[in-house]
Amino acid sequence: MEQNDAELVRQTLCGNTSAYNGLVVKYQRQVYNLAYRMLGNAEDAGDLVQDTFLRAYSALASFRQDASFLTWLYKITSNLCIDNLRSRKSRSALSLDAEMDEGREPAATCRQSSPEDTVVRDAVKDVVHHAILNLPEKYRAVVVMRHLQEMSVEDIAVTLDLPTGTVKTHLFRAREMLRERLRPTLEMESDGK
Amino acid sequence: MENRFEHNEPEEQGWGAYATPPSYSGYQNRQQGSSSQLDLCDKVRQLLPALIENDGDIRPEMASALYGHITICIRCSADYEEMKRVVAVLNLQPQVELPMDFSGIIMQRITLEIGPHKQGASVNPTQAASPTVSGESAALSAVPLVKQAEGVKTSTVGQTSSYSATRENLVQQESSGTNKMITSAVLVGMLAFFLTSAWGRAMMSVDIKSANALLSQIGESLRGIPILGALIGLVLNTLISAGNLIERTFFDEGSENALQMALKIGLCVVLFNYARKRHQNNRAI
Repeated sequence: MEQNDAELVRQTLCGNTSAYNGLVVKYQRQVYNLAYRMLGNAEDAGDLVQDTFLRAYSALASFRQDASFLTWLYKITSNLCIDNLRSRKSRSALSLDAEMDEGREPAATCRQSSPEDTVVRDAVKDVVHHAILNLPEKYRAVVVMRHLQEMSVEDIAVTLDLPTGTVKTHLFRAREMLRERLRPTLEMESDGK
Repeated sequence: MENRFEHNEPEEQGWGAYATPPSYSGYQNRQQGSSSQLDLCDKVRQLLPALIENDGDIRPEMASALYGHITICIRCSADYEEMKRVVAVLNLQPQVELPMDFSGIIMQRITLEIGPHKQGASVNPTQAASPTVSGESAALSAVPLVKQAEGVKTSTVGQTSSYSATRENLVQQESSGTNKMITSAVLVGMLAFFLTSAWGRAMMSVDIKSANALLSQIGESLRGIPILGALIGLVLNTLISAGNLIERTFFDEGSENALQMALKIGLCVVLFNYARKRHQNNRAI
């Protein structure tokens, strides 16, 4: 862990709540992006990031300071994401319209209207975004962490509690699935160049 | 690091095996030579993801041989280029920007729901026996849950104006929580007064007796109705029995027994809530 993070954690544990703000500001974007790519829903991602930082704050005393704070945050985030996706599945099993009734949209059907989605305005990027959301959870997590969060395979393995070999297998299978699904888009893109 | 590719067969054939172009016309003829070339292509394709990953799993000699094969094999070359394009488009996915003052919302929730850590609660930086994060999750689960105040959770997506509204909501909820605490304290005080004072006990006795008499009358009046009357009578009899039990506990066995009963019920409720929150915490972290 960076010395600065260790100092901020120490100050927070000594009762200086504003020191924690430094950690939030530093890592909120990465955590938010992981949540957004995992859930595909800006509203859920926002709520989940809040919960992540609150849980991390509550459990700060148990954080081992020689570990990476970001990896620790990612671990909490990925666990919360998996919980969220599972509860979403069980909800949709009860009623396919449940999320729509709540004013939200399912992960696999992204909207065009939210401010976050305006960022993903390029057609190819949008297709890729959907293709990632349609991956199985375990593959999605690995792809998002490796390619969108630029984490090393070793860090992903630590975050997800998986052997590095398994992480690579998931990564390669996920990329193979994406290759199949994105083939028409990639061909169109290369034709357009 | 585990090398999943260390014992691949192509290596046994020698690096030169990769440099021979496959004969696809031989695929239909099932000739021995062309068949082995296609097998070689399959093996090359299995190694392509690791080659693209370029993290040391593929040794330099193997990598050179693979690149040599790609330059002469159209199919493997096409696959390689396609895999690289997938990686490229993934890497080009944009980072989603956070709304302004997102951290402010988080810090506000921390201030309202948890508060500052107690002085001296800091951990010794040298205490960690293992740097693995996995070990921390067990410790995390032992930490009291963040209070999940209903409705406090706020959507972070939207315009800046929504945040001021969110803050107002948080402040309102804080004052609402204080009001609830005061109300609870008043109710508990009233209950304690009823339990301990002679007047309270006398009033409760009258109330319980009156209630039992009223319930008996209702039961009598409904007895004429077939099935439904019997069912309602059964429920009312249960209620009357419960009332009598409370009255007996109170007045025949004394208020000490009643107090003990109340404490046991209270303890059960507290333990149940603790177990429920602990379970929620374990699931989340």
